[in-house]
Amino acid sequence: MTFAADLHVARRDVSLRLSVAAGETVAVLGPNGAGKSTLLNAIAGLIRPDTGHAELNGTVLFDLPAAGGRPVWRPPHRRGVSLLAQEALLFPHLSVLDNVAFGPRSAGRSATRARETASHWLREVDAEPLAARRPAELSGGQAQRIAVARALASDPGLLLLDEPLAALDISVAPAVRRMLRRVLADRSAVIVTHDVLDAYTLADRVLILEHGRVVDEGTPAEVFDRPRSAFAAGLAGLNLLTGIRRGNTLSLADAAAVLENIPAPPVVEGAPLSLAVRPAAVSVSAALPTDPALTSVRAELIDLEPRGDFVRARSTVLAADVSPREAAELDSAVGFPVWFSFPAGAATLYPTASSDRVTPS
Amino acid sequence: MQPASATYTGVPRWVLALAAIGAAFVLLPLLAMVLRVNWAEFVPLITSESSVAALLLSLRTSLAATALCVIFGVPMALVLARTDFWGQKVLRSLVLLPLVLPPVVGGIALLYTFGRRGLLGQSFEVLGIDIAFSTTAVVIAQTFVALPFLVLSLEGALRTAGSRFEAVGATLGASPGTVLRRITLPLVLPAVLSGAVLSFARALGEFGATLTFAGSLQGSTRTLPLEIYLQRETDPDTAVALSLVLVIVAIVIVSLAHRTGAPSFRRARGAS
Repeated sequence: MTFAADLHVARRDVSLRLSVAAGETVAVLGPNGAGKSTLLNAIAGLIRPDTGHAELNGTVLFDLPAAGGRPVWRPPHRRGVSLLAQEALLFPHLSVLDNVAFGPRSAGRSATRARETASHWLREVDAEPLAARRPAELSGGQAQRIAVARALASDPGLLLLDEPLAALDISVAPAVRRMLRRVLADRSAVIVTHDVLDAYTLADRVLILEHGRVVDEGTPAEVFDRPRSAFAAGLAGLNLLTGIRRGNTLSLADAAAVLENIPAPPVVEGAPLSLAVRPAAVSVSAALPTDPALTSVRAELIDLEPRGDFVRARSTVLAADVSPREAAELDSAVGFPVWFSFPAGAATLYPTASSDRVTPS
Repeated sequence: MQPASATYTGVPRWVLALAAIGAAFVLLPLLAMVLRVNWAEFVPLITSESSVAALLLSLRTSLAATALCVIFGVPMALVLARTDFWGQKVLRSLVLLPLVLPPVVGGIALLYTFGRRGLLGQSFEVLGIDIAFSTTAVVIAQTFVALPFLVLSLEGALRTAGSRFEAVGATLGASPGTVLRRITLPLVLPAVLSGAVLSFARALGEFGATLTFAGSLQGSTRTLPLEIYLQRETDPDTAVALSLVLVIVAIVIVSLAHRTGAPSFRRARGAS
């Protein structure tokens, strides 16, 4: 284990446990205010948790016992943890090369050797021709590349990335993402992101945070194909329905609705069951469909939301993507209950509390 | 009136009128003084022995006071802007007190601190150092009134700049000392310079505290403003000529402060 942390910040109601294996990249996703930035800042040493413990490659970063014992707090510059923010934050008074050489210089290297290291990392991020420029003369994508090189040049034991692509133009983000994938390949890193694509392309493991707690953890495929949280389901573009299995029906937990005719449930009678289905696979009809192979649920149609070439029909239970023509027919049904149905093959059913992946603590 | 720019400004005419009166209020006295200058005698007047002595003393003491302001003011601004402790707000108000205090009151306070019978003066006297009514006293008086200018302008710049660059520097492995030297100070250097220029200007114009605490001895404590005040009684032509010298120095200082103070913002903005 390269890195392990267990931290609690009372005033933000954050209580998290995180570990990163050698060479592993962990993506942290969650709604705003879930505690993602608090997590990174605490690991970097920029905020001090109330209690907790963190170790990186055998070095204690902090050890703050709840009661008794002597607290240990290693200042940020002695942690070997680099933090890359959403904005590049290049030092405006230094050239690109000196920005990247800043870490090696601070570690006591000579100016010449620090610049050699800096040149190496500038090549790694395909930005060597920019070495002599001032940060003010860079585009957003270029600046973020330099910031990555600068973070890597300090040779961190753990690299923290706080939404590194969020502030970038859509046109340059893919190239920077590819560059990140290359440099993160054998590196221990934690990346906070809002983007499922980042999680799939960059991360070996995904953590979903909600209200300061880890609510799900697993490989990107596990977390997004069989989501355990509404947040992960939303990111993956899935309807997530959770409830109790009763025969071949699913009694939904949060809405007073029953899913009829569910396909081969993997749990015993009365056990909690989750079902994930893409809105594109769901169709809407005024009457109960006669096809016996379909799973159906009756729910109030809330509204119809145009989304380019299709229309999203939202209900209290799940959403369906319908064609504009179907949407026009449904227009008068808004505010009334209608039937949402989908074929058995389109849905993924899995035990809500499954043992097939690490249960978050 | 010629419009300065093609875009709509939304400034009512009466505001323009009041602004014009205000500008005249500032500029007319200067004009009146310039008109009163005895140009034929100007150079001999400002190069007389007492004038030169006063001018050199003023420059020397003001430079020393400015150096002290930088040495102590930069750390004070850093502590006020970047740390958080109980009573900080009260401390900030007290530190800035010399800005609003009548200089004579400051002089009296200094007298009871460093004077022969003062709080610290007695210990200095044991060491054989007599501060009051010496050139050192002039420097102390000037530093006392000028320090808040540097602290105030630098603290504002530090707050505007924020500490995000410093946090990045720390996570790149730079110790607090390295961060201060390689990040914080270069970033706020324009504010340090403009603050120092303002402090210098304030020190150069200092009168009340100097007269109270340092007296008026030609060559050792009689600075230019004191000299002007004394000459006004006996030789108004010299007083006016020396005043003009101070006005010119002030104009040079103000333009310097503007030039050094402005780019700090542009550079910080361009960075992010």
